[in-house]
Amino acid sequence: MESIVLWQHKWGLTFHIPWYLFLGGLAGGTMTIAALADLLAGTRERPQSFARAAAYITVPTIILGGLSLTFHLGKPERGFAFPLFFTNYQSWMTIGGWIIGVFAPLSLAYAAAWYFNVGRRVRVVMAAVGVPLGVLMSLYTGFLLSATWAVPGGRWYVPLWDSRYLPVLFVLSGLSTGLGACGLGVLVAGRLGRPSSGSGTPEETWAVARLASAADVAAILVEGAWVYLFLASLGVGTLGQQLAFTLLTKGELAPWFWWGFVATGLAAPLLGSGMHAIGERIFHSRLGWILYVKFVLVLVGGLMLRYVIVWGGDLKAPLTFPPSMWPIPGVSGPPFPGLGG
Amino acid sequence: MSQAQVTVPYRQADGPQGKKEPARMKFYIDVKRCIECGGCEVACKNENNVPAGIARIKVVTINEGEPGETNVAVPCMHCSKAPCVAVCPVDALYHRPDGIVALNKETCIGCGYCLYACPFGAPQFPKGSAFGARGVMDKCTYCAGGPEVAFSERERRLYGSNRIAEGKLPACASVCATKALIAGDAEEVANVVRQRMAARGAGGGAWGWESAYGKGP
Repeated sequence: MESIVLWQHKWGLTFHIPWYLFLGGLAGGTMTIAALADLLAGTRERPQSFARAAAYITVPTIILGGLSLTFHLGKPERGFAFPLFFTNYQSWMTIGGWIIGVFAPLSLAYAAAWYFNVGRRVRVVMAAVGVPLGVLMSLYTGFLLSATWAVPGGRWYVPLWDSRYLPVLFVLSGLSTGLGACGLGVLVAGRLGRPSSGSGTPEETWAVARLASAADVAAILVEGAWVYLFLASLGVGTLGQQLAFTLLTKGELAPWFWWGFVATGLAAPLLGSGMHAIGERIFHSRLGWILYVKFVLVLVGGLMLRYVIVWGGDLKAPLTFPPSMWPIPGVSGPPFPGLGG
Repeated sequence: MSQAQVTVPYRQADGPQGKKEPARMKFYIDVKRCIECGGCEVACKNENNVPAGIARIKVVTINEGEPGETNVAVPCMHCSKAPCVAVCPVDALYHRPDGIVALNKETCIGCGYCLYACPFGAPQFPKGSAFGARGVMDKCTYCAGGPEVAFSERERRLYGSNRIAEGKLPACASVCATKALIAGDAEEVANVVRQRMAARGAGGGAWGWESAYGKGP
């Protein structure tokens, strides 16, 4: 019997899952950034402004993400009452339900602590919990997918959702998009006349935005290195993983991966940072628009990464003899993307 | 919801403890015998009033029109280590004592996680309401109904027929003209497989979990 690829078209262009993965990862990233900045900065003003902006951004992000997650369910009302219904603690969806259940109130309380200027001691306690919880939040969005990569007793069903790489990739992407969202938030707040920086001067706002941009460069570089390792692992992996590699780099998803994620979310922001640094020295001007564009591109790239990963989940591990409820490319449907049919 | 006592078939011979043991219900799909008549699909839809657009069993054709063309009927394989059961957050999928992977539609939240986990494409999602929203999951029940009272109107409406409680085999296997699709207790099914393999020699066309994925760890 020969190996044939099982290709299942599941949710198509549905937006709930990729958006949820993006917003969940982003919220985890901003919470981690806020808490880390708060803990490490002491009472220095600039990182404190940065932490405040990140704390504020976490709240709408996790609310939108949570709603997106809940409303993708066939029975959303049961999703809201997850402590009653989610009884299988083997499942990452149950674990994730509890992570969100703890994360969302904490992020709200932490933002409220900033808003009402609650004493630093209380805030530090929340931040100390917020760092691991933020990482766990981003990490879980990766585990949610990769739990189907190798379920107990089975084989690799969705070769792209490699549990060795995906959760960490989502954490790194959560941090890079989180820094982008913070930078953008600081700039927009400054423009609207509600600066998050303590002194509130335009110079201070730009300084905080530059801080976010510099940190984002580091996060993007690490994320890019991790993506390279992920691709390298897929390229030399099992047949299913090699097919996933082909799908991502040369197949149907290649334009989305290369242009949507790598170019938009990694390369262009790095280029933008370089242009900004050089431009500032040459023109002695802030060139603020470059930072705006850079932060937006980082966010778009992070979203596209989630889309590409979710779409890539349509590729199942090759079966020796495939059953399928859907047309099988190259057999009873269009040729498998990138493999020339 | 009323949780009824499920009616489970028992093996005829006593087990090691001298007690009656529940049967371990399995499907066996013989790709050398399937003629792609589609009888199993029709029988399933007819027996269970399956909603439009849902295929609880589907005959898949490989290498159509070419040498080596093969057909295989694919229902839910009722796996022993079922990935869908492992990932379902609300335990809507569970193993009955007879090994059938049953579904509780009252508990299912329609998250679709099982669809990603299942290697066989068994979970189906009918449109639940307006705007194309997904409903709760639907899949092959092995013609064993659901957790409701056997033969109740509610069970009939949600899951279809309960032939197992009647002492019958699933409709698809019952109508299969060439006995390519066999259902029953694993011991009985294994006997049939053994006879066929002995007659044909190696590579006799049995298809299932191990031929698809190899022996599990």
